[in-house]
Amino acid sequence: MTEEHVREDANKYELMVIINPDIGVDAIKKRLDETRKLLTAEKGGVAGEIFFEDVWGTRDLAYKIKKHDKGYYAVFDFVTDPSMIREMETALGLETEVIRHMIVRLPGAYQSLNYAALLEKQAIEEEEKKALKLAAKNKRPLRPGEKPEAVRVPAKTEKVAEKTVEKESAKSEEKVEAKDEVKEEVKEKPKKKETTLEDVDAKLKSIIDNPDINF
Amino acid sequence: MAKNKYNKDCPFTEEQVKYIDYKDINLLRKYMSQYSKIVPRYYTGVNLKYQKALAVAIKRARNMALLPFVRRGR
Repeated sequence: MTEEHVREDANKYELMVIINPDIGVDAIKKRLDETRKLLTAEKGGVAGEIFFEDVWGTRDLAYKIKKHDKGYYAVFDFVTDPSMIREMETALGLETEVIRHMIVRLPGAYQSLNYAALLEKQAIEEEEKKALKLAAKNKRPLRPGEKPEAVRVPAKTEKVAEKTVEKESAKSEEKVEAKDEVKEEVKEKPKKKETTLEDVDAKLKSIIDNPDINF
Repeated sequence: MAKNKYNKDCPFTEEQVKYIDYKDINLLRKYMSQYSKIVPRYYTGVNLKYQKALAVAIKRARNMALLPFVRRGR
């Protein structure tokens, strides 16, 4: 068997580790490096390969584990020989700095997800839904005057589209600028119509300012 | 037409979902009760295939402390 042959056959796995956040930044970095080494360890001349990595950072645990209520999360997607998994499990299990770990087999068609990007996407989708709901609500009382509704609905969907574009562009450094842009647009629209639009704006701002959503 | 609780479409079937990710907590939360129990599929309308996948995902998320096992009502 050649190396390539093995790689194609090899399964995709995902490791999620929770590291004790109290050990300090340097120790956490060391621990991450060591887990990387562990995942890419060689066996029979074939090394594992990490093809995606996502460090979530410190976040609250849903329940206490060994008296910790916070954990440092990291996700690694990797390819390796199935026989390596057991060794990895034992190595991770023996590590006291790792509060908890889980190795999961991924389906072949799996596309790696950046957690922050996922949250962002969901926030946008929620906005869309809220906008649609509001539009639906506004329709009923305004039935006699039908024309303004027809204008309103497309205006809102456009707004959402603009937002998505901006958010994508804002991912790295232009965060602050993008915020201003959004706010400006947002200010323009409510002048035309009712209080419900202002509610949407408030929600929008709260979502943009939400510290949980990292760009 | 409002659909009653016994007559719902499976959202996963509609979108032909291939894999329910245990990391997607916001999605999983929709299929959990306020006490964070898994909601039976006769309430949510999820197809059996996806309900099973969903259960696996929720349990994985629970093990990794992304979701609680129990939450007391207040």
